[in-house]
Amino acid sequence: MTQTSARSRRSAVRGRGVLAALPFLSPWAVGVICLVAIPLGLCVYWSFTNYNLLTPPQWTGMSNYRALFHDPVFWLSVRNTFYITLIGGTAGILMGLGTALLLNKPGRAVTFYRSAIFIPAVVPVVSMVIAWVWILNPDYGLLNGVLHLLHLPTYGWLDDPATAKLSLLMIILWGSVGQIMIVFLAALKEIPQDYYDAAAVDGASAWSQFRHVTLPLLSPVILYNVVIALVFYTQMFEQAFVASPLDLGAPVNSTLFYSLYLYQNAFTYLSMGKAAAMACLLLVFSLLVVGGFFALNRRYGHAGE
Amino acid sequence: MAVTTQETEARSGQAARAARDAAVRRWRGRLARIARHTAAVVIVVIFLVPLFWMLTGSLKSNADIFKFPPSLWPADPQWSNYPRALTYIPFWRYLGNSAIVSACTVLGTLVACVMAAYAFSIMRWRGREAMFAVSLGLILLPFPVVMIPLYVIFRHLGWIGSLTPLLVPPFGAQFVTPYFSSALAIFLLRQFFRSLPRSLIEAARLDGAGNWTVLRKVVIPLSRGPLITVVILTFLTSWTAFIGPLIFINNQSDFTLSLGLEQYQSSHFTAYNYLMAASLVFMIPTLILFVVAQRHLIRGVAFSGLKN
Repeated sequence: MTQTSARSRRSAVRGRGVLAALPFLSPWAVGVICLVAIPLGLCVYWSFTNYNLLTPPQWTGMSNYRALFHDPVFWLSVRNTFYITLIGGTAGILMGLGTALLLNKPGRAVTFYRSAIFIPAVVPVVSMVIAWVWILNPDYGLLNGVLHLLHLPTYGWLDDPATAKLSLLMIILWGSVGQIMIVFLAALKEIPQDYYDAAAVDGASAWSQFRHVTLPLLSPVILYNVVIALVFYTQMFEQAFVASPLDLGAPVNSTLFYSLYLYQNAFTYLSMGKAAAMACLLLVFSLLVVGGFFALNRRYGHAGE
Repeated sequence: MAVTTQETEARSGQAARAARDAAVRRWRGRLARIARHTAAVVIVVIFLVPLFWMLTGSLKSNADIFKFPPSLWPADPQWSNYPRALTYIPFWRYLGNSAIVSACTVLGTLVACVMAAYAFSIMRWRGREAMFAVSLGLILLPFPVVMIPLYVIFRHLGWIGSLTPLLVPPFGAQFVTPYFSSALAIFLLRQFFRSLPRSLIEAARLDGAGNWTVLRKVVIPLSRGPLITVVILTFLTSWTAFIGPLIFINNQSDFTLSLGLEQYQSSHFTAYNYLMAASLVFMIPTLILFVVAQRHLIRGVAFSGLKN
């Protein structure tokens, strides 16, 4: 009797369902409709138009996409972005995993090391880049100063098209390796010590313990970091912008990344249609990446659980 | 007699070998530890040098900053660089703008995301999982995709030319940066709300509490840790945000510190000492948060990585 009344009262609370949830959901729902759904629709529409912000958009069909396809600067920005995604993503994950493995044993010194590597993560991007622009200055920067004292060759760093992308990556990695390390450390803590003890009893070397215990159990987290790196680097903007705000992509477009070229089209050339087309292509690419991630996760992600 | 001598010799030989093995193992362990610490110290120095360089650079004289090879410590520390840098640009005005934007972002994110997370976890309704999948998907929405339409919409609304474009979206749970977003906050809170003991909520309901009361009296008091994490991450990312202010703010009097510093840099590319001084003052709140709330910060970062 009491059970039925409790159940009916509970279902009365739940019965209102969507109506009851609506007030709680409304700020989020309004935000999604006005600040995501409508903008997305406009973006897709404008990608098929000629739009310069001052006069109403004019339908031009696929011409923006065709123009992009024949635009060498567009392909250059794609290549630049691909380059830093590949090198930056790989280097970030290797360095993050490496430092995590190095600092996996608890202790007072280790806590200090971890904090020191994590600090750059709270340095604002603008401060970070301004400081590094000085460090990397070819004529009076710290890095060339150190190389000079060691009688090693000095470089032009951000001023030289050959090293500009790698210099930017240095800045980005300085600011992000700590975060990747923290994620890996948290994942390493989840691996039960028993697994290692069992492997040690079987006579497994440190390397084979890493290869057959740590690595498989970390694979979901590695996959996650790959996706985050893909998402971050494909929309990389702030670091490259602040490094040369007056001449985007300098020197000679060697750091002109996808988002930078998108910004330039929109707000420098006022080619909103072309920029919208770039945005749509970026969205499609992101969806493919996320879809691929879920597919991979479904197939391999459970190996570690 | 002879047998015993042999035996004892063999035994002592065995003991010696065992002792030697143990010593080798101990030494190997010690060496490995030394190697680990050496590697760690080298890495830590590499990570700390840029911060040290900022600090000493902010105290260098105008002549000192162009010396090559550069000195690591200024011969004559110029503390006056600080007041000079902070009056050269309207620093306090920018700081005020950053404070307003960060306060609104934190408040809006808290209100909108706590409510949404409550609806996504404690309440039961048809379509909840599908809606939550939408919310989750927004974590990966690239900002460049929506930035142009948002700029045009805000322009039509007459918001461009004021701080409004940065103040309103957080209240619609749409605060987006490459590092943290409302969608991530909703996810973090929802995961925690789900782990709360169901019996407490049912008990409150049996006492006649409605959803608002349950949220205020039961859920929020039990969720202090995750709420603090969300506040800290939101503050940190909105205080340091760059791309949003860059697109939506075009009145110099509305500049946030990120924008103000960037503009200062692009007009005085080599005023390194003043740039470092201003950058460091800009960083003070984030460094304080790092020292005071490192645990929350690390928990937030680690959480976002383990969510899959």
